Amino acid sequence: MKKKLGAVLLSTLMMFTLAACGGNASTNSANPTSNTGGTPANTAEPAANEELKPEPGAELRFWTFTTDLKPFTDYALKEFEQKYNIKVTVEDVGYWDSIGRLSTDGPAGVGADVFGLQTPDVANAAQSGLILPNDYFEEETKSINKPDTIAAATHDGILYGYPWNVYTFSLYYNKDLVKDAKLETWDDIIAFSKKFNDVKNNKYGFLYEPKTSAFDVAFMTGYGGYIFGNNETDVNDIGINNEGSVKGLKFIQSLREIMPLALADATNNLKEGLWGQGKLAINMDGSWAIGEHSKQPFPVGVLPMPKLPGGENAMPLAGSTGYYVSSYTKYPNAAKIFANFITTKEMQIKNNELTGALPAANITGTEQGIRNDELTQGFLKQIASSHRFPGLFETQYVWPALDAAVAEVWNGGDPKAALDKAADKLKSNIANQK
Amino acid sequence: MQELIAKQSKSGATKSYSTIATILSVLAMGLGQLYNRQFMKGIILLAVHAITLYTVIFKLPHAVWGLTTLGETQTQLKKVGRLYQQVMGDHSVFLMIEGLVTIFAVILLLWIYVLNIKDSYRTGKLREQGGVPNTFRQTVSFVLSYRFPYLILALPLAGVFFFTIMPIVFMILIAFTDYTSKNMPPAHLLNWTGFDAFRDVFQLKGWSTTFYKVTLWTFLWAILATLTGYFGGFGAALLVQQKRIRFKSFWRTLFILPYAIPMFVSMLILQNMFNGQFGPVNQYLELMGFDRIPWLSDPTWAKVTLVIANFWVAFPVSMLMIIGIMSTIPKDMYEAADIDGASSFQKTRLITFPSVMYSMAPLIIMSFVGNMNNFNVIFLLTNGNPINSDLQFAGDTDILITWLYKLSMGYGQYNYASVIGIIIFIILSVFAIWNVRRTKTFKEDTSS
Repeated sequence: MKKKLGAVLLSTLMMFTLAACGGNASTNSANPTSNTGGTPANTAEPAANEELKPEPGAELRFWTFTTDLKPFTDYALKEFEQKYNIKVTVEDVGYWDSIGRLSTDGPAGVGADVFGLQTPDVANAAQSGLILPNDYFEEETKSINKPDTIAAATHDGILYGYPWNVYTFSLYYNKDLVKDAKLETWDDIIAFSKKFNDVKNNKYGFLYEPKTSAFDVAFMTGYGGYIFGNNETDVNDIGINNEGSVKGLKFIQSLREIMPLALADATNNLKEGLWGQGKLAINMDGSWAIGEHSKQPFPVGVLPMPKLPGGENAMPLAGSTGYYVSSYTKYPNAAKIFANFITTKEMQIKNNELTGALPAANITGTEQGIRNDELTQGFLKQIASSHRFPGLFETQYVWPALDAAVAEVWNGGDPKAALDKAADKLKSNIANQK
Repeated sequence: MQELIAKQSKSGATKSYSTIATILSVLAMGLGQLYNRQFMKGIILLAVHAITLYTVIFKLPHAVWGLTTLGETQTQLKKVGRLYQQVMGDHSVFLMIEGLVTIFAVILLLWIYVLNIKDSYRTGKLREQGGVPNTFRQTVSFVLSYRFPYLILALPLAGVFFFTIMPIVFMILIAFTDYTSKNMPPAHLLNWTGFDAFRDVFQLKGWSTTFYKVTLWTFLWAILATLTGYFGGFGAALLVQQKRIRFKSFWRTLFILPYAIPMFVSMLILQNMFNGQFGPVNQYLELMGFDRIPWLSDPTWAKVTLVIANFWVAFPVSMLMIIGIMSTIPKDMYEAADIDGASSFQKTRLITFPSVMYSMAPLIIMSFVGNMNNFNVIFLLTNGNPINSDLQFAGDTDILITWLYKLSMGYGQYNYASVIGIIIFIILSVFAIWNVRRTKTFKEDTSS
């Protein structure tokens, strides 16, 4: 009997803890509802021309890269605090980690108010209801930025983001090694590499990372290939196995001649290692690394993507990054003001000056304040003739399918068969998602 | 007071205290205890009764509704004037968790209810036999002196419940929903889809081939990794512990070094070492006149590379453990064997090996289980690659756990990931239970 008494006491104790925890859980879950339930009062429907006022006592949490972007964030946060007297805390969360973090941190109330996203993640965030639309500053945002960056920040016809950067990739070259070789078409590059390559001593004319198929798409677009139809907006039109794409993949297969490497071995960090040692003449890499490449000990230039044999110019994919307001934010007005503030044209140009990133704003290369070096200017030209990065939700299924196709072809498989298989897989994955 | 009770117990010998107390307790928790004159306990239990009523009346219907429907109002964007507003609807995940907590709480309360009835019945019985029920102070002091461990355990138990049981149940439930990154709260409501995801994994063309291939490799991997790690350690221990070996501690330190480097560092280094073109391993091979080996780019070689790399980080631990066990084997057994003229191989086979196996068996099974879930080595060394176009979101060297990771973190297929999680859970618990029940070491433990 007394044993049972102990059990009773024990379970009473447990029950109180349970009741306490249960209470917590329910208040937690009530939070998002009460937050947004509270927002109508806060936002109080400002009339069309009324100024958006930050909520009193607002404090913002901001997720971005705190190392690469430090010069810019230091500058921007200081300006913002001076102007609005709102404190902003920065946390180091990469663009690609934001969604995952926010879907757990947001409901718990410790998520960011403003955070960065790249093109392929916008659809996902919008569909999960994690971001608020860019409503108040919509016209301003649309007027200053490039149409492609606006498209990337839009989902289902609603503009969500505040575009900030654009990125693409092209060919960096080591001027000391290339000297005055003619490099106008891919045939030239292949010819140059054949002469230059010294595989025994790990010297290469041209390298890129073929196992990341986002790079490979550049060769498919030159022949008329694409991922999704209607300028990367139509999921029902899959172009990865059309004639142009197959031709592009055939060309990639022919590159193996100058890149005699297994796919798994051609990794980005080894490529960068050779590049840094001066053993690589032409390096296909992204505009996100402009800052890094301008610090190399040898003179570096940028080649625009050359003409493919018997086709047009290869067109690399170009995407954009932007800032987004979390739908869990307690201070939506302040967050919107901040997101707009750090993405104005002046700030984008300032960022180019401080970190080298390319602005999303509609600018010409001679704009006041834009870096005037060869790398920035080269990439600004490349962006103008690149292929839009697909921002659809379904894009995430493209890469595994295409990676596998490239892997097969790199090992000698038939491009047509590999791409048909990839397209089938992509279609069935799109059909399977509920 | 005592007199009164004594009198009552004498005169009421025929009175059925137990029946009345039981009936009262059934009516409301604590009434029976009050009737049995255990006032404090009765009041506490009455309070518990109030909490139970409150939970059952006000919380349970909502919990059941939440668990069955997973929410009904969808989150919406509404345009008010120029601004959008997010009108939050039901959050399926929270409804699910809340529902689970409430239902567990109700089950616990019902258990207390049953205990309460039993308690009042027994106390009543005691009174019928002329005994005196414990006063509250006696009960408390009894609990504090004899049931103290339970009290101390209550808190960790609650922790285990919330951080172990709840997430597991939650994960199991996810497998029966359509939780994918396409359909994610708070913007969307989840739906129960029953066994759809399970059916897909076992039957749908792309999924089932992937599942069988990955499972097969998972088992193969676990067996190879465990055996190489164990016998490598055994061999190293035998070598180091030989009588004629000098500088024993130097060799031991040398062998333990791989283990001293954090695993993720060594794996990233090994990844570069095994690079087919630039890696030093192939460069040495070439210098010695061999062909380059596609360590990481060929499916079969990639698997071999994984086993080698795992061997390198795993054998030091088993070596240390085996050295420890070997030092407990009585020396006279070897001396006796020497007198009988046994060779050193015979001594190893008949003395060392059985003694070591006896202690190591449960550890080997546990390391087998650990290797089935050995995420680090695979994720950091090959990341599941080389890519295989026949597999669904998996590469040739993916084991179940890395496939699960790719499914959930990479492609947002949470429900499929959860199905895989359940399968891993079942496989591993079978081994864990078998381990505890069958191996000799644990058997001895239970007899004591």
